[in-house]
Amino acid sequence: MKKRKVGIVSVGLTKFMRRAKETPKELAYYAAKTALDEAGITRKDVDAAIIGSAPDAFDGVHQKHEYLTDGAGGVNLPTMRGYVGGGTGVFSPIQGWYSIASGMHDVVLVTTEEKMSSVLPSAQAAFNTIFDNMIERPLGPNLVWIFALEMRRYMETYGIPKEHIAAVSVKNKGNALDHPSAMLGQKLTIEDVLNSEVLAEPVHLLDISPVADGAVSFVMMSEEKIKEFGISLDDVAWVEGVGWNVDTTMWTNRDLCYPKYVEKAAKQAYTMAGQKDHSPEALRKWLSFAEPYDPFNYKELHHLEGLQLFEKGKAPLAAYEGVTARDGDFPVTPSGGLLGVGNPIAAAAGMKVAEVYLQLTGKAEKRQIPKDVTRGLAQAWGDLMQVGTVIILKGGRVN
Amino acid sequence: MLPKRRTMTDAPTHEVRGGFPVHFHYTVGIVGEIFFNGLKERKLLAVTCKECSKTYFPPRMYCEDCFAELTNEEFKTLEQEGTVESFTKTYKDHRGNSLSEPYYLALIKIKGSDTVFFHKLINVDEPNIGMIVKPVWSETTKASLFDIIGFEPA
Ligand SMILES: [Zn+2]
Repeated sequence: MKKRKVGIVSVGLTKFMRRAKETPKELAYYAAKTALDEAGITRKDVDAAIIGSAPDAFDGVHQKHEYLTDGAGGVNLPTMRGYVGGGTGVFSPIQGWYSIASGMHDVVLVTTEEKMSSVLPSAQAAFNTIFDNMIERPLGPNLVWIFALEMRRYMETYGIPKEHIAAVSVKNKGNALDHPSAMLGQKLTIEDVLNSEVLAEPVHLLDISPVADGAVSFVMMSEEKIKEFGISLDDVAWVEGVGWNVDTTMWTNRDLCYPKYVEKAAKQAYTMAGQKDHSPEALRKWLSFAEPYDPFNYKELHHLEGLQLFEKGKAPLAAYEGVTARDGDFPVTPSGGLLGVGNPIAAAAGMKVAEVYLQLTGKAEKRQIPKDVTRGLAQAWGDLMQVGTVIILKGGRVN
Repeated sequence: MLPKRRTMTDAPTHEVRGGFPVHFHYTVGIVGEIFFNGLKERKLLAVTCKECSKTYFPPRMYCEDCFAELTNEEFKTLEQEGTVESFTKTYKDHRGNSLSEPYYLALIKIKGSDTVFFHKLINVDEPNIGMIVKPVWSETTKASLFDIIGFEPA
């Protein structure tokens, strides 16, 4: 089947906050309305709406997609939610892509939202319910624990010093100082990260991203509609490749050092985009930058390796040496990421896709990477830590 | 065609008890603040979309049809009168327990509004669709949905 060309033509972001006064619907509306206004279209022009949001237990409304429909501009339209936990924010624009590429729709409004401040006593209490209810939940697992297990194994296997991992927090929280939506932009030193409060060894407070409230929307269109609306190609980022993959649901049995599911998702996306050479050198030349999922600092490194952008165990040193700085050889997370901008789950990954769009269209303002950028990748990770979602965008005038 | 599985029975089984141990504190939202503060003053506040003339009660931040933002519109006070659109008498609560005193719930269209409000119907023996009702206010109001005890025949 011939796939149609699909572009993102606008994005809309709310601020990310610890405790937004707005309801989840109102957050969704801010983002969706902004995206429509930026695209210069109205809800009447929209053929379908897509809603991305992570566990219902955060906002505290069951069937959140149904609840969010009006705020996301989906009333009386073919509207649906796709949900792969933390991977949702990248999966939602993938849904937008296939709705349009298939020929089903021409203009799709995609909204990712999360309001995590509603849940008490904590987001981790809600996360507990994603574990196996017979053999794991009685032990009270939460995400910090399982990340601690994974991080320790990753460090031990490759002999990674904690300083190299801490460099990611310094970089991302520093980059976030330039992001208008950011809640935790900070100028930090590696020592600050190492000396921050211990949560579950080896995980310290500044190794992780803050829970947040926020929403991000996109308007996606077929090439034909982009022409019809007279939208400048300077404002377009084409979807060149998408991929997603789910590993075993038994998280205890997965490779703790290497996210195989990210590799599979990435290779699907590279292949779709026509990039045959999957070696790190070739990929870093082909892509201008990447926005991998960074809820924890070591996860950015883990994901860079899964994405084939660095050899196994080699991403930490690259981060430490500044290769992945915004002005480095291969910029990674120029947005400031989840670590710095904040982590309203689905919206956080939405923010990463938005960053790729903004960089490629030259609209990233103070965050703009100081070199020509033609192609970028966003990746998210989720479900019970075993789903990888990848999207590759290229500039509107890039062949 | 049913699979022949010996394990598929109604027999009692070993159970593991669990729960979703979370509760919530919801912000009422930007427009919710206006609506609930209105109830505190025993007012039914609504907002009209300028683009399509639809009046929302309770008010909203945006029109779900034309997607116009309504936050900066003037919120107007509706008359304390509504029409019963439909009703039911409930004998069980949402847990399935029998109620000692069954009561009425109704869909009520407040005069001047294009949307329908869900609340209790009180002080009535035989309600009917089309019946005109008015809110009965609590003696002390605290910006809550139950500042209105229910609606009774006008
Ligand atoms: Zn309207």
